[in-house]
Amino acid sequence: MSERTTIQLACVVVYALVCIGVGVWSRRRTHDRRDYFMAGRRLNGWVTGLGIFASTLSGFSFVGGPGLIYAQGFSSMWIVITGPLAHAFTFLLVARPLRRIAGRFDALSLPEAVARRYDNPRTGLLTACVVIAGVLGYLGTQILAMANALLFLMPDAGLTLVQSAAIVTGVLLLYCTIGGSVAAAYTDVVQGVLMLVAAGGVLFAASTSFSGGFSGMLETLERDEAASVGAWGAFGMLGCLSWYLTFTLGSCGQPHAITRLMMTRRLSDLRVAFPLVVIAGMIGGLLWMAVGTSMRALVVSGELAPLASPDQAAPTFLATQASPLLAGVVFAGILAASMSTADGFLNIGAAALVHDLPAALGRVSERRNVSGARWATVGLCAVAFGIALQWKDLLGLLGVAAWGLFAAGLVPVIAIGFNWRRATARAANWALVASLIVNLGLRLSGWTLPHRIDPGAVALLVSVAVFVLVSLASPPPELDPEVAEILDGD
Amino acid sequence: MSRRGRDRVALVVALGAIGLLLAGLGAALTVPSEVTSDRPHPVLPGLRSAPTETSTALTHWARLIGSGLLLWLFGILSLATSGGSGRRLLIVSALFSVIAFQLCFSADPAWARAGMVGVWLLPLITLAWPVPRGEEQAGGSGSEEDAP
Repeated sequence: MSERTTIQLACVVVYALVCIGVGVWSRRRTHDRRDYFMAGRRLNGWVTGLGIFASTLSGFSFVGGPGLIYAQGFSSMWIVITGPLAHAFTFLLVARPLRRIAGRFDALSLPEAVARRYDNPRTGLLTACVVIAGVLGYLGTQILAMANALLFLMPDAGLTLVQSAAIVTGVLLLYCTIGGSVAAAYTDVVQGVLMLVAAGGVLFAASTSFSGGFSGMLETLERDEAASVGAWGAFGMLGCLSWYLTFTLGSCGQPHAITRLMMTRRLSDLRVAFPLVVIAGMIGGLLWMAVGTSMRALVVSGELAPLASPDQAAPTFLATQASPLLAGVVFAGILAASMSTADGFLNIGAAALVHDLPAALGRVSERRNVSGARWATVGLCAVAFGIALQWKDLLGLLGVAAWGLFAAGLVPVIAIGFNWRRATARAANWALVASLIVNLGLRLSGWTLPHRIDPGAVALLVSVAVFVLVSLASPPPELDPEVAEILDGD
Repeated sequence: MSRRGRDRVALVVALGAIGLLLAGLGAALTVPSEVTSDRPHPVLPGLRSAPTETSTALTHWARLIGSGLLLWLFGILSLATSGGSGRRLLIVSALFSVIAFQLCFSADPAWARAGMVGVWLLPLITLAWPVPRGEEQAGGSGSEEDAP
């Protein structure tokens, strides 16, 4: 094993041990399901902020994003630049009513908070179904991304994809089942800090990778083709704008991120979390841009040979432009990005299975039974593991559709419905069903929308329109007085 | 914001969503899809290049849809305001974002990138959003109420 590989592997092993250590530490703080699913509602602003940042930024930001810039120029910057506005939706529109309803009714999951808001178990059930469908896709995608990262890290170890996936899933399961959402929240702090350190290091390495720094890169790329580093790149204007819509408004419908808002100790903690998430997200976005631009400039200038695939942009950058220590930190950061997203999904998926589905069927949730929640976590992970390795086509579909699925399903129901008392349960149910039909229908039909418009954006617009119009066409709802007080509060 | 005010905003949001869908449909019907198709880089395999054709009609649609989209997004955000300085912040942020967005269509890539940076950073104004009163909550018990 080369010295470089040894250093990289050491970084990853240290990271994995820290995660498991946090899991063991969290076990003492996990006594019932409120602890397991809601971290006891004891998180402060820093833990919440870093948790939302870490769970939003998946492995795709480290690997897929730079690949998009490498292949298409600046088109995918329309995803990167959504950050500040997207987080404004999360913190200004969703945080306050969601946290207050969760606190008032001691809700243990997002579907339960939705069911309480609309006073309708069917709405909670539909929300849980959307959550589970998206969770399976996302979780499987993250497992596969982590397994591939480990294989790339240890090419000489003779590991198969299944073995690699088993190793990373084992670490994930260990800390998630031992410590539940407490472990997920505090490992996310470690993972978030690690990702920020990795992003800072990569930014510096990228700026020195090319003669003349970023200005030199842009000049080279403009000489090759000015449009590639203009605002739209190669993807087309309407496609870029549909990404902007899906990722701006859609971010406040991502359950793994907004569930963290329900875990905070006080609403005032979010004043710390909001700027923290915005700034951290901007640093993460710069990594996306810097690595992709650097690799495209290096290939265009002839300093590097063209890559076999765009997804090789980040690994090749690390292999050729980063020191072994930085590469090790970044590899650990890639695992951290995937793991922090995956642990959030495991948490909300397990809650949907053992808490929301039984509640929708009229069974009382056993709030003190943590072992049931742990078994649900293991079961969910096993199913996602199987899908990741056996049904890659299904996984690809669910993985691609998941963000749009959550966005179209949950944005109207939560972002609008939690701020507008005229919204009705019937409208929420219609919007959830419409989002599933439009999203999965467009993806399963294989029909490519004109001008590369993202199906998730269309589904989001349809579900918002359905939600508001059905609400206005329905009789005004008779709200629970406590819910009405929260919705009316300014 | 009053209940009736929120009802009006919600109706505008629904109409805006329908308007954006119709505008997308209009673009699809009036501009051939080939205009948007990228092409392989002339020399380097794996890289994509921007379309050779530039369609004035598509640019008009994109200007319209993008500006409408930004205003629509800020309109949804206004559901969280109680009026006053929060709403003024939103209006300022929205208008400057739309102006920055128009720069993205500049033929000079440096100006186009400056427009993107504007669309990216101008919503940071919302960080100055005044947090409503009565937001403190006791933690842990699960049955917490707002502090006075």
